[in-house]
Amino acid sequence: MLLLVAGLTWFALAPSPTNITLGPIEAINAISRGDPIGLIDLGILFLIATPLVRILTALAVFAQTREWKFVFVSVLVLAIIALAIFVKG
Amino acid sequence: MLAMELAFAIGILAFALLAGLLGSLLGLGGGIVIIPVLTLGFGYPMQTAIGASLMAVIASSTGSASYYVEEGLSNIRLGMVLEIATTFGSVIGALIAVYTDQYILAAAFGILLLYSASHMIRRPESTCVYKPGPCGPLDLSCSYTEKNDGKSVEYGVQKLGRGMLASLGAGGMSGLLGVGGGTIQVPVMNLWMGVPMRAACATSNFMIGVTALAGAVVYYQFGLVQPLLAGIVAVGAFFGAAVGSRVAHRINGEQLKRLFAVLMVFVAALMFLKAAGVIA
Repeated sequence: MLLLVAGLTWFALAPSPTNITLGPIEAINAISRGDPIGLIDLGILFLIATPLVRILTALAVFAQTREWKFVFVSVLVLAIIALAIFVKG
Repeated sequence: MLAMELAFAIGILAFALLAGLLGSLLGLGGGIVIIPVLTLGFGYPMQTAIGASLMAVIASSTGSASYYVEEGLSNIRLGMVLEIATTFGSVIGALIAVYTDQYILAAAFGILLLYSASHMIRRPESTCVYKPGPCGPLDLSCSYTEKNDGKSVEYGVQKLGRGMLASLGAGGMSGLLGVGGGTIQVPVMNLWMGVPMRAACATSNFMIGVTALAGAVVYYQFGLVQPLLAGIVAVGAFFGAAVGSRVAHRINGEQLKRLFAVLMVFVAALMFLKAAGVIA
């Protein structure tokens, strides 16, 4: 959220014509070029990843308590999200 | 020109704040406010509005979900099992939305608004006695402590198959229309699966962010997440929801709900007009 607020403030001070998502590597390149959209895009990627951390945490707890059925369930949820990442090919 | 763009951005931020605030006061996801505002008010195409709305859903669920998990109300095991269905539904829904005409999406959103309005006025709650104990091959039973009287509430989970099917539908709706899906998920858990209302709300909150994530990834891949718009909407919804959750107990929700239900029917009518091409 901090990244997004910083990126939006930067954009308000120095607007950029970029209006597409860039992906993680290009976003970092854009920041080094001085394009605030890079920072906003990075903020969006971090935001999307937040619920992912929740699944990983639950997975770790299930593994620690040896609840293998739920480890499998968590891995399945992660696999479906991975499917979404590669769905466009 | 720049001043106009800035005014535009501030306008969207204000509505996103309002959406987050109303969402947490009325128990709805912010999407139900954000999408009509962006499409009818600011003229964005449905898919772009949905992409931004999913960011708002993730942002506003992030804060409240961790609160509920800490309180011990969320049934993480049940949430995780149902997430198999919601995430899968969300990916399929998002893929359908990407290739669907925006006028059809507007009509579908109109129907969703009508459903949400009726759900908000007569929100039924299960009156059955909660049965403790496991069912089926997965033990999803759970318990939590009531804050008011310190009593422990134990419950088992019933009708998992039906719940999974409904979750698939809720996830599909989330990916297709950019909402959280709580309006389906909460009554399903409460009325069908025998989960107490407070635990159902908390578990749904835990699930919403993950469900929206699956759909959001598809929109991002297809370039339907406009960084500036999504950034403004996410920040607004996050802070709006944060304020809303702090003032929720001080506000008479019933009157606000009735008023908002009437407004939703009106907005649904506008959505149908948009779908018919009468308004832009």
